[in-house]
Amino acid sequence: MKHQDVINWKINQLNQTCEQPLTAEMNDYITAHPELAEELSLIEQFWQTEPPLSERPAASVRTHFYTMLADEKQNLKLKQKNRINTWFDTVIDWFTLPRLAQSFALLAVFTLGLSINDVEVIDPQDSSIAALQQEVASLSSLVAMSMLNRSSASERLSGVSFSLKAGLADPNLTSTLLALLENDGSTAVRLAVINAFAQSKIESRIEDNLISLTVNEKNPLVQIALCRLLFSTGSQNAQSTLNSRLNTINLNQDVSQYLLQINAKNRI
Amino acid sequence: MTDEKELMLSVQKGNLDDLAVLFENNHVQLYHYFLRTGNSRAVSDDLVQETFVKVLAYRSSFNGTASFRSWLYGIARNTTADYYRKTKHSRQYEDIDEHEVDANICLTEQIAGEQQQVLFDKSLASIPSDQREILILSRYAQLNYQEIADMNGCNLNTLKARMCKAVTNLQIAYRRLSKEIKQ
Repeated sequence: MKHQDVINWKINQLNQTCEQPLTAEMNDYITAHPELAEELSLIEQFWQTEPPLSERPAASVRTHFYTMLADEKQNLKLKQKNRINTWFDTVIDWFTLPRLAQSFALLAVFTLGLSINDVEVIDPQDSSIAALQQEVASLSSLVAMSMLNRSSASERLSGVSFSLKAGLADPNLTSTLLALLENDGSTAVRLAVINAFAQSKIESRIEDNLISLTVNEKNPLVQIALCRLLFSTGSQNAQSTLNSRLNTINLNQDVSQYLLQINAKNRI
Repeated sequence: MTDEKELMLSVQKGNLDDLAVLFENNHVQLYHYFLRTGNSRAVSDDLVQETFVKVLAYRSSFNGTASFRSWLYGIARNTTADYYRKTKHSRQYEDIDEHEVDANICLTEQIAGEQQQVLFDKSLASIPSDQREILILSRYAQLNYQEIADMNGCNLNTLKARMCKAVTNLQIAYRRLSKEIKQ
């Protein structure tokens, strides 16, 4: 038995990488070496003293990170769009799966068109189809809400993406999304929720909630995203209400700058 | 909670939103790592930013053989070295005046958490930098011995011996500083 064996055991125990309890041999060794007992006590204090809350990174670190992430996502999209095709790539492109699928689809439509008179057209008004569609939509909403309540931020992000596919017509689903937008600890999840609202029509009952959230938001990145959402897709009434409420509060410099740009653009 | 290694592999595949989860889980500890290895608060902020810029830029180099954290702190160390090479600054701890330990506070069980942290910080600052780093990586980054050994390019037994020395030196420094305050 050596000092380092006991110290290593203690550190592993504090880091929760060791479940082995203190052995009798170790205990006797510590008793025989009082200076080691002092060191163990110091290690315990050092591990258990939490740094003060004032020692946190500046808010700009987070803002910078999310801006960088958004830029990189944009770059990835542009790279995919601007892929330069050589003539060889163009020829090969015609033999890729999507192109082949398109060709077969065209062929199928042509063939279908030839025999359309012999096929019984399904009445879209059929109530059983509508009921089935409603049930599917309801199940999708349930699955989305289950994902949105997970403890892991990445699972909640997947839930937001699934909600979009499920459609945001379900009021329970939109309420859950609004709650996430207000309270979620992950900025990424909150930004994803805003993005989801941006891709569907905002109902008037939700606009008031979004305006309040925007005015009370402390995170400048989220606040800018909310302003962008309401000024691009919100009703005229919502936009003017938001404008007048934002004028009554102190805004972060980045948010003020963004609003100045928006107002300048609107005047052009 | 999804494994950090899996999240990073997912980022490699193009799911960049998963990097946000890794950022939220690690950026505060990373900040503490930089602060306690002798950087000012402003420099620590810059180093956290720069580390995650590199994590994103070099995401394809993460091969999943080591844990995400040990890969992250490997980048963090290189980022620090690059920073000081470019700026030609030397590290110095935050102005000690800002963290003056109140001599009127009695050093028994009643010592406040913050004052205790200051004592630990000062004690850490006074031990050799290689010993300081392994203590910080174990305490704040919560890397295991093998990961720290790999990062330092030494074997496990060597690391255990260094850790033992680090703790002894920390104890000596802490005792000395505590006595100075009492006097």
